Amino acid sequence: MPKKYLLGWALPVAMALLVAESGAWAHHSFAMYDETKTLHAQATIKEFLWGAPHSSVSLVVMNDDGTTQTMTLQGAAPTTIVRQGFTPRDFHAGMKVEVSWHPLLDGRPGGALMGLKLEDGRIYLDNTFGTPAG
Amino acid sequence: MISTAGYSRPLLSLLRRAATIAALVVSSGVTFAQVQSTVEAPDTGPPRLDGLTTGPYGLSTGPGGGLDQQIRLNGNVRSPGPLPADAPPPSADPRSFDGSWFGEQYLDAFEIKNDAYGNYVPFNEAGRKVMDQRLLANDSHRPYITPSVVCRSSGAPRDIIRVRFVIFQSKDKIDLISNANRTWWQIALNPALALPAGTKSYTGRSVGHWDGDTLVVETTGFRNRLYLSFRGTPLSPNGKLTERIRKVHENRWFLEVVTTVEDTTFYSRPWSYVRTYAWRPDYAILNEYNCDEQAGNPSSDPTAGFQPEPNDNY
Amino acid sequence: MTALRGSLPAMRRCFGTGILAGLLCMPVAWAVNLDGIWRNNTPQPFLVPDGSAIPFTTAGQKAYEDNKATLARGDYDDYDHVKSRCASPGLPRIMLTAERIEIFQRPQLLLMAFEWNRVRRTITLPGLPTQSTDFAGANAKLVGTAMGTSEGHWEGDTLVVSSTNFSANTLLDELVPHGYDLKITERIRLKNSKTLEDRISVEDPVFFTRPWGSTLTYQRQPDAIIREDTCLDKLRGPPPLPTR
Repeated sequence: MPKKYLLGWALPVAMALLVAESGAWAHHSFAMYDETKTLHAQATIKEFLWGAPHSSVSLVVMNDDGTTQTMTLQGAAPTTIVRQGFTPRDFHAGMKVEVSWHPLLDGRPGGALMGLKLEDGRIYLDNTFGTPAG
Repeated sequence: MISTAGYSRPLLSLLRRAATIAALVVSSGVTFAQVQSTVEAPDTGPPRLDGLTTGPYGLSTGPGGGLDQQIRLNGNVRSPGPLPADAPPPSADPRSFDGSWFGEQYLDAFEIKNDAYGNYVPFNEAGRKVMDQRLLANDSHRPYITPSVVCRSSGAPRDIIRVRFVIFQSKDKIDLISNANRTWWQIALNPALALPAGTKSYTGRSVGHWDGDTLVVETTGFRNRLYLSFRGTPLSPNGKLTERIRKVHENRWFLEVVTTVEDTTFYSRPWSYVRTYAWRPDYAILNEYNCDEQAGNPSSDPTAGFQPEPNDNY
Repeated sequence: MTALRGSLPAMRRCFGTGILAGLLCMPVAWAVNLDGIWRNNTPQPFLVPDGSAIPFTTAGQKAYEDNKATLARGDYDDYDHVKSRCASPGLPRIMLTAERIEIFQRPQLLLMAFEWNRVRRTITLPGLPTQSTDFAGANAKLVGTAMGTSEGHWEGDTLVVSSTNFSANTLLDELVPHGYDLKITERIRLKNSKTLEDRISVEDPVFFTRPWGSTLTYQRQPDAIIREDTCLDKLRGPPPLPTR
């Protein structure tokens, strides 16, 4: 089980999901993530892939028992990340981060990225699970 | 107990749809006979699987919450906005579809609730079962693996919904190149160019001809069960799609595509639906779609959280 | 050769080079048309530099040697996602393809569609109407892609294409590395009606001490429907999708 921290910065973002083109959502369902649960962990970035329709980040996560596991989290489209002032040069293999995510409902490693806190203090908040419509 | 409550529908919605389609049909010169006319009486069809009913926006809802979540998280899709001031019109040639376009429907394309005449989609028992199992999988938070999940082409019907695509046209063939899943839909106008009969692919084998100013495209040869809508209106690999495409100007320039579905595996008779694609010369640059880099990652599984759709589930 | 249709302004031929490039332009019906299907009949996996060897910097040489060692071990995913994942080869590597390339040319845009895994690249030309996009506009400068962002213009008979905004995840060929600051310049022309030439120039000051070039040629192919190619089907087998 990944080590859990209560991280006050990893709060749901009050941003509506506004995409003119069917980006991350219509590409495929996101129903397999547990929207009600947020996990947090210290991790090392293995790979951060920027791409349409969504990005993904592979991380090595420290478990409670000191072992590590690799998992891949799905994230927002590159436009969302760029709007928060981040570029691909901000993420590289070996970076230490604090990560929060909605886990997979079936219990397998993985999930939907909610946020990354970099060592320099900057925070990326993924708005994939934005506020409800209307 | 299987519920039939989901078959109630607003009369105004039916009348509005019927009037819109009738106007398009009359203005195009396309007759009901040409569009595989359907019976005008409501078709209740086979009953829904347990728990599925009609919810907001006339789309299916279920007890698991996954379908509602999908609508909630997609409800704020914004309009592309007006064309820039320097946007040129499309070619004056009614037979030229050259240029860039954008699929206008979004929530309307999640499911195909009614055909082009406002009748229920004529699922047979197998079709209703496949459609409802796709819905229930989504609703129960264990959605089926779709071509998009594994970075394969979904075929042109699904891969031009709410995305940009460009059309390059010559007298011998038409190439529609979409942003989504790197779908490249090639239509042979010169029969000599057509792929051999029996060729199977994700996009199918398409042959087209002109009927006046309407392009008629017939496609067969799908290697997989298709998704005609986001939520999975099915087409079996034995199915055939006939698409009648014409360029229309009505407040804006758009392509109207009337698709006729012939598939005895899943439907009791041929039926048609309509979608439109706006002229968008400001969407000429396709974004890179390099999904293989993620889907092909040997250290992760793109199907995590999904389940495979059974081959024999009907 | 496929015929051109469409409402965009007639093609123009522009004369002049250097600072006079494009000074005199006139509409001509016989302007260069690269439309059609092309294939490199003598493909190779590596860019052969014109002239002398690739002018690596110290960092570039080290990265190159690391790639060779990783290739020898067969650890493809550590450095070559094309081989290990079917990822886009990007530019200029895709121009080394042994499969066909179909070029669609219009007055204000040119698109190359590749038979290999259906990848494509767009080259914008002068006069393209204002583009509305969240991604490929100003933000493209912030997020590089495998194919980069390509802008072209005609200099006489030659299409000069400048490409920047690359991701750092690709290779120039099967081994040669590059970084975010890569710039590719191509001079594309018809040597004759059946032969297309692409003279490629590579610049990346982190990896190379100076620009260097390589030239590729392609032979015209018959018009055709390009067979659908899906690399992941070959690499990973058929996907778990119902076939009934």
